[in-house]
Amino acid sequence: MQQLKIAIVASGLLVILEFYHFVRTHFSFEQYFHDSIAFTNYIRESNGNQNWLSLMRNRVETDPITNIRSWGCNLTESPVTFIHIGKSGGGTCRPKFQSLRNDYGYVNALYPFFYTDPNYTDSRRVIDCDAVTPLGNAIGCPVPMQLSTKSKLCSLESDTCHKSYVGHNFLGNEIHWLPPKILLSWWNTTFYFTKEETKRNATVIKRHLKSLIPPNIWCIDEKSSRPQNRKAYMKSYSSCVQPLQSMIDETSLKMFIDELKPSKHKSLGNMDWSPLYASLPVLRTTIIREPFSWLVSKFFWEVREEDHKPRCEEIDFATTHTQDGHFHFHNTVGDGWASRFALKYLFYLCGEGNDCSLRLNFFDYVSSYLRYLLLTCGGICIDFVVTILIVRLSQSIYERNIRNKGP
Amino acid sequence: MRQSIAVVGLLEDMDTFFNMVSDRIAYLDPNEIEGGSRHSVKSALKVQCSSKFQEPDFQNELMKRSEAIAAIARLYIVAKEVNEFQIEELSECKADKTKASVSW
Repeated sequence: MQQLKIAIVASGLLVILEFYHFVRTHFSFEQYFHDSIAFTNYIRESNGNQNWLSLMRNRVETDPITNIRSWGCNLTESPVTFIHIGKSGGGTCRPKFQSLRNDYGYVNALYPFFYTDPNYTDSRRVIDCDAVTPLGNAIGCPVPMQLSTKSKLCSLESDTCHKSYVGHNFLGNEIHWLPPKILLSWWNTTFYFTKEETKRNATVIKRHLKSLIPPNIWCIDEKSSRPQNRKAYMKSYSSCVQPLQSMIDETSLKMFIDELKPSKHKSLGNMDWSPLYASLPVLRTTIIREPFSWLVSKFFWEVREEDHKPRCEEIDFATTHTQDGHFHFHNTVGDGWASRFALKYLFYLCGEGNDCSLRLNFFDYVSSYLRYLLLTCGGICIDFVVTILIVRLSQSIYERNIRNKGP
Repeated sequence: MRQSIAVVGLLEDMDTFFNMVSDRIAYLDPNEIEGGSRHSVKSALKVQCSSKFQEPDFQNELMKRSEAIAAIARLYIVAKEVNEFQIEELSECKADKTKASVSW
């Protein structure tokens, strides 16, 4: 009987481990990166001027190849950006990026972040935006005009943007501030849709990209151009920003999903926009730091409480503590300081916009739930599973005995 | 990172990064500008902590406990791979100044 109990408990544990393995296999970061690699290879093969969408469609179900894009040298395209991942040498880079020739201008960290986060109240740096697709971000959450005209940023009426921009903004932030004529040219030459309905939707997107050029009408309900400043943006949030975000999100999602029809990208949670970000006409640069050295540097920079500093070597504090650290996307989830900073690191390179945070939040939800299941109520859950197994086993033995004995 | 970023540098070799930027982008030459280096002061506690974070067992435990940390460790491997590829690519560019640039 004792051996039977041990066998049952072992079986229960195996079931839980199998379930954990299943979730890790299907919803992990590995899966996310795997998908990103698959998509970005189409971009590499496109060589910058072919039909990128066609390449996406042809290769969408094949195994990923981890090739790297060749860019060429002595490029004269602009703008150039430096993605400054805090504590990775940006302080050294900033003055170096001022070394510009001719009429190119240097801009330092003036563009805001675009996302909605009630935990983050620094309104100087963040503008609300609920869009979940890059085009929804571009059209629904355009940078206010005043920010561009006041501070040497790219002119919104121009068809060039000879700037060198250094900032902490996440990859893809450019889609909010690139001059609309550049966005239009990119849209017209990057994706060639083949189906009638997607072509119609692509025209809708084109019309809305044109509406970003001042003084064109951007918000039909208010008959107004894109917002002048942050105040006007927030004032029109429910009447213009949100409806536009929703409409463009829906249109662009439908358009790409209909055109590509990849079975695994049917839902928003799995849609990967990294090739679209990669195709934007921006020369991005960045510096990557060895992650464990970066974590220590980040910890001593961000964690101000002196009594917490000696705890930097505590694994629990780094990975499961719930109260400390300053990363705002995941303060309520329950990861420790190192996990939260690591997530922020991923956001820098994952792409501006909520589509990225949606994917990571989903993973975080799953992993947190499992942690809760296995650690917080682990004993009770195991008991529960074991009880079910005992009942099922008893039933099975009973039924077998009945069958063997006959009616 | 493999497709979106034209120059991926590594902090441990900043000089190479600036050379890469200079080779990649015609109108930018960071090497012409002096210094600007900023390093934070290292306390004894920070040195001790840094040392702990470089221990393989400690790193493995962190990665085991946090998917996000494991992900940035993998990302660093990709960054090194991209950096190496780009250095090689740019060295070829130097040899062939007439090579066509990317167009958009």
